[in-house]
Amino acid sequence: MSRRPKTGRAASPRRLTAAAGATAAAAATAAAAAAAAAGVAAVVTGCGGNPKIGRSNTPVPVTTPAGSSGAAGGGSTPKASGTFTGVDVPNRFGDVQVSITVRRGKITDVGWVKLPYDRARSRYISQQAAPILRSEVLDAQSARIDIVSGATYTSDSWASSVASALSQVH
Amino acid sequence: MRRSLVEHIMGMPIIVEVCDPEVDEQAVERAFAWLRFVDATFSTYRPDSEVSRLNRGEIGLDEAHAAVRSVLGRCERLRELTGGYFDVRAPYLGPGTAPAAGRGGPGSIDPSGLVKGWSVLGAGRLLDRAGARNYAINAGGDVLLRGHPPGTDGWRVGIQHPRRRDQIAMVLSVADAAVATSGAYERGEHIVDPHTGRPPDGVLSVTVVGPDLASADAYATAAYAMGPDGAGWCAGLDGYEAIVMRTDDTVLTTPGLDRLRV
Repeated sequence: MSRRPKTGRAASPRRLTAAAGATAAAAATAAAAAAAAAGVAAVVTGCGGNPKIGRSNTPVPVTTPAGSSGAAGGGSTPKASGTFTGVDVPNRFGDVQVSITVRRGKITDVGWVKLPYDRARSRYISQQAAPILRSEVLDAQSARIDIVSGATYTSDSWASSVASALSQVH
Repeated sequence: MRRSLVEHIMGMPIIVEVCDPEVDEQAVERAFAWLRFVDATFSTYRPDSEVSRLNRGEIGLDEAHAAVRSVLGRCERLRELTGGYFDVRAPYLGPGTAPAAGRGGPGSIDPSGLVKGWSVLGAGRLLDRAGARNYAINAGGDVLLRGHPPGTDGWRVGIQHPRRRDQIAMVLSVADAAVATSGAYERGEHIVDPHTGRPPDGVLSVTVVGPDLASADAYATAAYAMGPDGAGWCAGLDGYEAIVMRTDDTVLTTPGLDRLRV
């Protein structure tokens, strides 16, 4: 019987814990990207597995490179440029801190100042994080399928669903 | 030969499809019997379940069945892992506006967000033990897949279209994986952001694909509750891929999802 594990290895408890820290970092990246889209020059970070924190942090610029004149402490100046480091947020998995590079109000790079886990893993997660989530338009399809995954349907609603029709086919 | 059996447990249809001819129906019946036991023990709709008795304070956690303690322990770890977005204490909003009777009261718990996937994994183990290698269990839209149907290299899983219930929005081909979807379109807005007590904005559904159905289901629930932040959160999950369908009719997928798409 050929088996094709297509979705990666089973996560051991240790790996799951690691994922939690990385997860917080990914959320911070998402928050940084969102803020860039909103025209805010610098954002922030951190959060002990609580992505909400990313929404409301105060920008903490650490370096103000040439070219961002008048933007001293200018984390909130739209169209600013520079590298900014988020506040260091301790959480139960360790400290998480993110830096972002901004050019003319757009994030051009996201780096990790501090992560609770090893560098190789951090780099992997940063590559995987929000900016490269693939986006496409919602589409309706018809195709041969064996089974349907959807938000929990009840016995009452099942009769009218695709899943019901499928189970009658077999 | 493919056989498909349906039983209604926990208020939803559970469809077990076994492709291995040598597996007898008694094995499937044992799997259903296990699921009925889980329902009797964990249901918040049954006044005599252990969870209902816990919620009324009639028994303490130390008196509860070992399975109840184990599940609640795992729920707590998931709460921490998801930044509080998966929370058995979150108010449950039924199809109407008021919490269902006996549910969602102050201090009460509803672990059904984990119990479903966890119980299906247990049912799968019973099938494994009976020699089943190629089967699917669909519990109200959360599916566990083992092996593949004969003559194929994977189960074709349709992800339900969140706006058109008679259509699918995407097709995946997966072998040996779990697929869980959370959204508001079936039971009304039954998932809330535990931090605000309100349904999240901006997201129609979140589907998570990965090795463990219980975790996939909990991650999908948590990511859905996160609203706009859910997609970025999913991108950091190790070993799990995600599809986030949003109210602006865009779909975000994690990078590893492409290789599963048909």
